[in-house]
Amino acid sequence: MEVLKKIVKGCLRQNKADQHRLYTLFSQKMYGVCLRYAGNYHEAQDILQEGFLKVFEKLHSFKWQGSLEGWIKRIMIHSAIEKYRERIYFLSVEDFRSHQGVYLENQAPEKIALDDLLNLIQMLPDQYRMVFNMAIIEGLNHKEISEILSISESTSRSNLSRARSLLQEWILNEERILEKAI
Amino acid sequence: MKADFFRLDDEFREAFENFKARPPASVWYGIVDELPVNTSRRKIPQVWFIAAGFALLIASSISLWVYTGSHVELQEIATLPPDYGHNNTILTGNKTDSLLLADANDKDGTNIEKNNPSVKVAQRLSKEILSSGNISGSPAIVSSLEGQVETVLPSIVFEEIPEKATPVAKIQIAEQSIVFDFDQQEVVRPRIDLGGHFAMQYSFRSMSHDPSLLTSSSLPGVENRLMTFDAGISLTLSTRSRLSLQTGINYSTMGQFVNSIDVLSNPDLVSLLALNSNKLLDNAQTILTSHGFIRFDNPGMSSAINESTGALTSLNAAGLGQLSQLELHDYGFMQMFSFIEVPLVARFRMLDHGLHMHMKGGVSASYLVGNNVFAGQGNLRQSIGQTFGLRKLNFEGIAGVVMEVPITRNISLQLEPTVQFFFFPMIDGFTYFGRSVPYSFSLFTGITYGF
Repeated sequence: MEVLKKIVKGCLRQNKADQHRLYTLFSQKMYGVCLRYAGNYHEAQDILQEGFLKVFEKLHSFKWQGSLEGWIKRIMIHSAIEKYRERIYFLSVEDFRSHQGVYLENQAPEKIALDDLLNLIQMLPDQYRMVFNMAIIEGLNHKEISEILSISESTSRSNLSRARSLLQEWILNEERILEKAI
Repeated sequence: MKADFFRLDDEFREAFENFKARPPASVWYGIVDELPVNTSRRKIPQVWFIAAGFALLIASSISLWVYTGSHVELQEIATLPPDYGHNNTILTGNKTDSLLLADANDKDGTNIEKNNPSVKVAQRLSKEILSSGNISGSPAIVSSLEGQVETVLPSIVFEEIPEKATPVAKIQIAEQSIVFDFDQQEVVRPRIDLGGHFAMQYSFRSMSHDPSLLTSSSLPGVENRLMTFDAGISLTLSTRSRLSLQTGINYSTMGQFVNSIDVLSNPDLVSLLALNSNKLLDNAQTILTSHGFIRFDNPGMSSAINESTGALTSLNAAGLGQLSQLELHDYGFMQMFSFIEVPLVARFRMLDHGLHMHMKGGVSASYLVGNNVFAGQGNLRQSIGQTFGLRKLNFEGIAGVVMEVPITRNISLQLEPTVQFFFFPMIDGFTYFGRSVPYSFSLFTGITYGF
């Protein structure tokens, strides 16, 4: 903890080495979060970059009342939501329902590889992906999700349900293809 | 169905709860670019450096011009005997075209030039006054600055000589007769020398290692000096005084040789030396050195080096056939940078007996014009990429000795052992290895022609 506080102090003094240390400590985990919320790798990198810039900008407001990792993670998720909001002005959710074919690489019959699960999440329409991540991975309830995403609770429920259906459908399709092949 | 959903939820939750992935290096570089600059070490806009350089150049030129324009070197031509009641000396100056009567204790004329009223300056006998005939043939009346008649010069007689524009003054002092020919008095003007020079130089960098950085301090074993060159033309403005000012334009190269190359997929986390195996080298793109990060022009090349971790022989597998002729000890990379330099150097003449020896010191504005990374050395080298993240404009300090051997009245040979050191690192921004600043030692040889 002391080391972490030292690093944060250095970041507040805009010490480049400390900023890099903080980035090194959390970048891999946060990139994992960004990959889940983004539609692709490029977008995840944008979110990570913008997120860390916000972290350095707002670090003075972190009061050590919770974990630093949790605080950074929230900033990353908010960056992802901002990115998503930028896009919804141009594309409706339904535009993404045309995703049909899914190709799962390295699939083992009993367990799907992590890369493939990520691939599936990234293929979900933006809003479904947001809701799915918040509900299933972060464990938020629909009331919280509806407030964060400015949607109704019923929309949140429906989005989650559709996301699950799509994911399951894609996985089952692939399993059928594999069974036939065997 | 619901059970299936729960199974699906669990699968995703389990997979992504502690999901980590290594972001590419470009993310950190993007962050560094956007981060505000530390106020205590605020970056000064380059335009101010350029403006300061020009201001310095102009100020120095004006100073030199004023200095050479006003300074009079006086030459004693006679001392009045005590009979005349004054301890005075007749002097002539290189700029005044006059005969001056000065206090003998002020032979260097400093006080004459300053018109110091405490010094008894008898008279400036200008060419115009002397040639007007008003005092010709008669004892010249010399007055002090206060206007009192103090003494009488020995007779100054002017002889008209048809082919001469100005009469020759004949000064009779007791038994001594002095002829003073104005036309033969050479007015010394500032001399301008145009020269060309060339130097092989030993170029490297000094590195102050920051122990707080992630990377190790073992780079000295990996990066090595390089022989480069510097060539250019110079313009030297010199006076009869010891000071001269030199400027010009140079094309200079510098760099370093990097051996034991490892290619990093993510230079944020791994030191250059830390990778001596093929681990972590998937998707390798970048080589990190103290002078910046190298990227390959040919993306395919990264994998070739990736497999070899620096062994040049396996570069052949990437189709670089000609490199096979290199010896194994030549493997590595050469980071080469070229600059256009505009120096401003002051020289002070220390020794003036046949061989002129000057001390020199100055600054140079150096603009980066070339940036290449080569595999191998010598004729067999092959350009493979560039170094990124470099500072375009840098400044150098220059110090050294100039040994000047006059060949004829106008031509001189020069030999100049010189050290040049950059004020700022090559990298413009964050560095993983501490502060690394280039320097060079060179022996310039040149020839100058004086106008």
